[in-house]
Amino acid sequence: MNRHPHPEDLAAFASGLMEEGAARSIEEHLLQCELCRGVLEELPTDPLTAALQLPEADHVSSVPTWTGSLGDADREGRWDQVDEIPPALAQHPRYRVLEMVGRGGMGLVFKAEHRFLNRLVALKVIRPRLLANPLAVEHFRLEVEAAARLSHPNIVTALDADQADDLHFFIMEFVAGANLAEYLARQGRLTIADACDVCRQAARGLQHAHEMGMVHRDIKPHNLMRTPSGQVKILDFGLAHLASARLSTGWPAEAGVLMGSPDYIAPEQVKHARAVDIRADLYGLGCTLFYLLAGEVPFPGLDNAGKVAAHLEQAPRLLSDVRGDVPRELARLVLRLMAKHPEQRLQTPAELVEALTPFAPVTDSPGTHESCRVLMGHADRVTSVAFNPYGFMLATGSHDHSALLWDVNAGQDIADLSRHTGAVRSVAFSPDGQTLATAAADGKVRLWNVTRRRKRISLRAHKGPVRAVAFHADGQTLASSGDDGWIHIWDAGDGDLITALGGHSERVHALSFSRDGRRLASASRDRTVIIWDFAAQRQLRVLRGFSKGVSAMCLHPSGRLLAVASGPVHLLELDGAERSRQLSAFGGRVSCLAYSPAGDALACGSDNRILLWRLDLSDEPCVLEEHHGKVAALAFSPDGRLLASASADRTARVWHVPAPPRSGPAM
Amino acid sequence: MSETSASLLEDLRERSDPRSWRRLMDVYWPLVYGWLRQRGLQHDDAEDLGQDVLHVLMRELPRFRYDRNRGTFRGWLRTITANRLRNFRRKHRARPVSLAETDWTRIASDLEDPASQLSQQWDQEHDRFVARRLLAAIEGEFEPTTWQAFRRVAYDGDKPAAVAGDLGISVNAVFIAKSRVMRRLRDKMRELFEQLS
Repeated sequence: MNRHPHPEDLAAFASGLMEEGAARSIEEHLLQCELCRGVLEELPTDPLTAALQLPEADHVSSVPTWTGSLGDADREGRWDQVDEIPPALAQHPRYRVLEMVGRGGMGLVFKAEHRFLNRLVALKVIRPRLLANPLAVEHFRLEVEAAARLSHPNIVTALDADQADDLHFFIMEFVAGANLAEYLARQGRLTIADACDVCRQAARGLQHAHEMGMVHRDIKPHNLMRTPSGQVKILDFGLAHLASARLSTGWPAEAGVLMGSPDYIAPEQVKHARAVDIRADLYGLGCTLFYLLAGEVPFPGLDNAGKVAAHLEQAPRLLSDVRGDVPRELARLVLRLMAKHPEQRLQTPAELVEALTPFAPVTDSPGTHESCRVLMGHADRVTSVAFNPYGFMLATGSHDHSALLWDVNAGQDIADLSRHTGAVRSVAFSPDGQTLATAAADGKVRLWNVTRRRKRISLRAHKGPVRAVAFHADGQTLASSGDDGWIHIWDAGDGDLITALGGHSERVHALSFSRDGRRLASASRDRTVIIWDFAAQRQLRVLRGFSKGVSAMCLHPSGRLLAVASGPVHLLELDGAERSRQLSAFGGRVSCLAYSPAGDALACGSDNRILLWRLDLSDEPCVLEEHHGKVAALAFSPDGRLLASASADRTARVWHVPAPPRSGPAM
Repeated sequence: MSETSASLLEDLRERSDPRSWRRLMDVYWPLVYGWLRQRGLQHDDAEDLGQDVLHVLMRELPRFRYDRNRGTFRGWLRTITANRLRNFRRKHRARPVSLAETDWTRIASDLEDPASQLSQQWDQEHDRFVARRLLAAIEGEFEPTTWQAFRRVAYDGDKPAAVAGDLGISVNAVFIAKSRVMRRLRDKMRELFEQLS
């Protein structure tokens, strides 16, 4: 028999502190040694085990929650009575659930906010009985994962699948608006151009999915969302397997449960639910177009089995017979989409986009660029705009004395921060996104808690209007400048003035930090730009000679290049050889400049237009023309894919930054 | 058995990527929120303050050097909570908060003193919470009987002999079950915080 282990080794063994090999030999020893088993039994409890034995403390949430079991409610047919947030969601670590916004056969939908990214999302809690076994859950997760790879303006972005206790839910971008079924219920059938536009947008989304190898399988008006600005987005990609309708008994006996919706299902999907391709979605879209134009489904007045039978065997009515003003060509197009055999339909959504063009005015021919969001909410000129560091939120400032926070995806304002008593001139997010600084003509800089939408600190920043505000990369330091010609540096935590930088003799209207925070550039009406060594708080360079004044300025993220608008836009190298490059602003007055975060693009507001240069490619800008008033401020999203603009037309707009061409410098 | 995934702290120091946030939030949000609620804060205040604590935690993590000089992760979290508590109280001095009835200065300074009863309680609660979370994640790696034996001894504090009798296994098997699960648990904890033991 081995020697007895030391009691300390036994203690280490019991509390799991021993290496695997040593633990194995003790296990062997214990098999034969009653003595050591006795020692083990008498050992005091180790601290970790003692901690494990603490009673689970419980806290009662004071938010109203659904106290019953969702599973029971679903099984017992009381699903419709669930009207509060389930506790597992109310306690969710990452999402603050705000309210229930919808319910359907598949689940409950809640509007929620990501606690740390300040992003609005929709959480769809899946009915427990739809995910009753591990296989179904696994399938659900895989489908959501696949759907999350889709990224298209006409598809609601799937973000994640998650679980809280035994609830499974699906997280997607929050889209304000109504689905087309609700829309029709409120306003009646659509005009021909409108209906065709809706389906064309949906077809664009489907084409993207098709190219990614995905099929929706449940295209219907309920799954097309329409935002207030008219954008159509396909909902619930990847969830069709959860939407199933039980057929009334008798027909067809072997089918039993249908994947899809009886009013919009393609004939081939009735027979082979999983084997269908994108043409089944085109059939669904054809039925949807029928519904949008006729105001009723293709085969009304039947039970589910009757509807399915009609899809299989019955020819739909000709739309032009149902509604007189529908052109015969369009009626024939719908018939073609609803052909019983997939090979008789249009073969791809792209073909449908083209086929619908004669019936709906084209708003987005290639070559021009449309803003993807129009943010309307300010009562006066919008002066300033900033993205939060995660790119989900925008802040705007306006002459109407307010600053607004917007959810970029939803295109909706989410908070009104109005305490200023003068026009807001500049807005800036702290690098962690938790603080927004607003600078106004009332001489104040205000710091807001973004999450709570509350004012945190008010700084009496300058004599006269404050013109610009910028956060340093450390997140603790803030720079402001004003009509008094001073630049003030603040501790953003407690609002103390750290120092004042003097050097300009007139209004300082623009401030710009390099990404590393080592350099600060300031532009003034005194026709100079000063480059500061920020740490040493001294002037590195004073750039003079801008005889036309400096109307806008932006420091390149590297800190080594400066864009200055003085008439045209000048790109100046700050270190080494003083080379410069000039970009024409086409005679417009440049009011603002912004470098993309990667430093490879420069945006410029010139009167009502936005000029966007790919600096490495060409001097030819891409022109974004939609504002009806002067563009006052520009900001790139952190990933450089979006550009936000503020304008005197009282709107802010968000644009997709056109991708650089794959070959050649042509823009 | 070592897994290739980098530790949570490592991930976060590299770059706060949402997946690490997620793991951090999932473990620490309920802990911090629950702790604040138990000290008598109302839901809204606990949400505000809890969010505040975790924001600071995430912001400072890259700078946090996890070594013996800086102390343990839970001790650091305790200090952050104390700071945020003071700050929170100062900000809300004007409005009646649920904390008003409680001696918050005392709570904050107790939290900063590792020897105080409150701090020791915090540390224990932290360990229990994190350990139970991690245990839930590894339960599937063990035979049901092994798990049952571990649970009864470790969670319920039952005598090994009684557990052995109830489950129809040897006392020895109970010791081994406890030892193996505990070792795996410590692996997981190490994985979570480098050297936390």
